[in-house]
Amino acid sequence: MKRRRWQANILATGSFCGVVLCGVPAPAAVDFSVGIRYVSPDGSAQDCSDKAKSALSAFLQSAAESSPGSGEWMATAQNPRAGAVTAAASVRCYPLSKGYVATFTCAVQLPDNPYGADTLCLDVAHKFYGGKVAALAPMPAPTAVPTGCSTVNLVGTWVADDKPLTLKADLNGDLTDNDGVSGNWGLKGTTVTLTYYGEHTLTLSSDGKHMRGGGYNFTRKC
Amino acid sequence: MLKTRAGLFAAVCAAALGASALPAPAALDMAVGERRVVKNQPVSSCNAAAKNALNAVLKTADEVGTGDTGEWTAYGLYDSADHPSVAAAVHCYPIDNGFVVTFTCAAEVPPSTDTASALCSKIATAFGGSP
Repeated sequence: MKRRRWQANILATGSFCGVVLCGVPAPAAVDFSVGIRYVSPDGSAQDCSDKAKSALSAFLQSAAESSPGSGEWMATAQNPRAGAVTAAASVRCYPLSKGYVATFTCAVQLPDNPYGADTLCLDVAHKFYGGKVAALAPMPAPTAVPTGCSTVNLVGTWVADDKPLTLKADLNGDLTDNDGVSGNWGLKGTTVTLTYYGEHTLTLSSDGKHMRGGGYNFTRKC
Repeated sequence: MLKTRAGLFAAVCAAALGASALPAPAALDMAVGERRVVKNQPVSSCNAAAKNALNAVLKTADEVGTGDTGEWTAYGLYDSADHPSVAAAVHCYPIDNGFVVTFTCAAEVPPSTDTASALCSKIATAFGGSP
């Protein structure tokens, strides 16, 4: 009976590890902008295409026509921190008997993208037909992988002082030993929590190079 | 005994971590869909078909702006916080003796299992008429 209760506790703790320690990113949403249309009483379809490409290229990358001569242009922006495209816009040109009509549609993924779809579309449209262009917030830089003996994280390689054991800790809070067994780390102040064959509490030294406690003594390679 | 327990604990933890693997990061997908030129029909029929097509595939199609702008948009695939993951626009514009209609779509993949291009194809099909 006692053994069964203990096994149930283990299962519950394991589930907790999975649910709590695996952080889930904030829910994202598509922000869409429709409604800007420009009718030019003169100019050719080629003029529209030239302006479309130029306007899109001012704010986004890889402006391309969906098929040559179609007059339908699209461009996207890669977000280095999200590691994905988070902004895109299209300009669609259609020739009229006199002049042409161009429609502007934009989409961004929030909250990853630093500006909204309306802001992007307004800028692309103003660049196309003239108007005030506001500076778009820059895409966020990729998250830097910390190096050295940081005192705010445990990222790096830790070698046990008294046994043949090495742990590699990454930025996501994961760690892996030299046999491929995985676990997790947490750091609050100088208190280290290692979830590795059980939960252990250690103390990080003021120089970030050592952690000790719970039967473990580690030195970081840094 | 202690070693067995520790091993069991690690195995359960590993299984739990594996089972709750982080979702792949969402990426924005945008597509310039079909463009159709329809002759001998008023732009009002484009507007009606645009609204119906968007409502058939997504939710609550709306005409953007005031008056007959002919620019329709709709969203779909809402999460529990009411955030949409897909959106589409249908633009109707009158030409000499008919109208031109375009379909433009965006999808956040995942959670959307449809690409923006697939979404636009569905809406164009629901719009009716031949390409």
